[in-house]
Amino acid sequence: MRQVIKKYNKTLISISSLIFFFLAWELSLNIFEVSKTVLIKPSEILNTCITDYDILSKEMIYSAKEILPGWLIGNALGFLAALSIYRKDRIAKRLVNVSVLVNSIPLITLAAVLGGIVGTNQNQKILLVSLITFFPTFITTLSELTNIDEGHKDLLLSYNSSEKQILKKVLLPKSLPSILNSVKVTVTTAIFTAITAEFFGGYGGIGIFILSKKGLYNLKLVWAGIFFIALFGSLFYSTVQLLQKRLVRWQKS
Amino acid sequence: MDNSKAITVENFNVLFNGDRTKHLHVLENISFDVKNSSFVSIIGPSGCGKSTLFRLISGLPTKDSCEIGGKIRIYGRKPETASKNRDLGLILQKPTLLEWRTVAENIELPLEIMGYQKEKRGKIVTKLLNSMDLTPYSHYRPSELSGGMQQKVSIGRALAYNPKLLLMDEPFAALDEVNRRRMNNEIINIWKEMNKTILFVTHNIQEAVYLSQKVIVLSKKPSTVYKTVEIDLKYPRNEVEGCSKYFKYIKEIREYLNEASN
Repeated sequence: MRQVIKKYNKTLISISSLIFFFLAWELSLNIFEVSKTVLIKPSEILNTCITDYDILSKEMIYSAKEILPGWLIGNALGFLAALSIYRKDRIAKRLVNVSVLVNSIPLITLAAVLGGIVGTNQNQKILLVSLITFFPTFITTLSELTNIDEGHKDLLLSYNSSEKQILKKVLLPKSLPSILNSVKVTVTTAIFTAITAEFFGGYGGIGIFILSKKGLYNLKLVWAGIFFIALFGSLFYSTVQLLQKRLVRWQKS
Repeated sequence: MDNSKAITVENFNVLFNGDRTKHLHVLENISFDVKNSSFVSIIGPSGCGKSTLFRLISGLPTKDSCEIGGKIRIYGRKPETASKNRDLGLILQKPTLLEWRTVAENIELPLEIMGYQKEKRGKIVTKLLNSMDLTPYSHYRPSELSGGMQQKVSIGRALAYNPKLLLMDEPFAALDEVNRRRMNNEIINIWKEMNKTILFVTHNIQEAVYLSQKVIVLSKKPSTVYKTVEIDLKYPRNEVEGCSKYFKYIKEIREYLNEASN
């Protein structure tokens, strides 16, 4: 029972702090005079979210069609690539090093170049998102799979298990928490990448929407767009988090 | 096939050819045997090559640059073959349980790998949990158990496929005195009831005397068999623990160990 209350408390705290944040925002704008070209009240933004729901959701869905496939492809390829080479010790170690290097480059700058090569359609964003989400998951999976507890290895060898069995019974379950963590982290990366790429040009999407409304000084719609991204991001993130909790229940207990 | 001997080690030599350690002689002319159904301990100063010997008897791979001479036979077979034949059960220093599996699932692991049918696996696990008084813990995860309990589960896991020979590498080194003694009694019970042969590596003299029928004292590198002491005491040992003979053995082995470390 106490645990239930504790759990409840946690969500209560986060919800109340969110409410407090918006209230402070709202009230301070009532007290201080701030130009409407700088900041507007959250109540107005929420209002715009409702009145312009159709266009906002349409643009968000357009972006989601870049984010979700890109994220899925990047993570799946990262995982599969690691899985296919983890046993080639030397190559694997070198590839991890190279990937860490590549991962430290702000690949988003490629958005500027890629537009000229493959165009600025949705596929370009999918390509970018998958490229950028590929590396974290690839690096995590590969380093997890190449790092086995010596005791576990000895034990499994003494049972004469095949490499496939070692992978299935020890390596994959052992690596799952870290891999899922990386998958979770790439959610934010994917959203950020797609929207920033849209700033470089495209045919639609919430990033383009925000950019064009900013040009028109329609700050309400700009903020409403940001709210939509935030909403989409939290939904996406919590879904993955839920999945993670389901899959690695053993870690919590 | 000579079935009275579980392990025979004959003129066994191991040389490491590292870059810095040129031709480091680790084990030199080691010879001993372990009779079937007996309890034998190996004791030696730390770093004497006990672990290398243990790995080789277990049929586990050693460091790449390792030259081996002489032979080890387990029930007349090479260690690798004996391991394939499921004659060996390993219990290592760390319990090495899979933390995402429950106690019951951990014990089931070797059976899964060896391809036992699901029903048979269930039966074996239930029986083992019962006989080891682990049933109340069957759904616990390793992280919820004490070190002693974890090691007990790892013993259960080794017993699951019913190997004839148990090889134990300082399994209770991390336990406190009370738990160590408790586990010592448990392992003696298992040895007697299940009719196993046990080779027990330790650096604890008390433990060696308390457990075994024979104690092999190894010397410092290059390691040789310095002395072999037959422990002529009745089981259960907690009844003879106070007698002078028991202390005499401890004293004797301590002296050998001191001499062997110099």
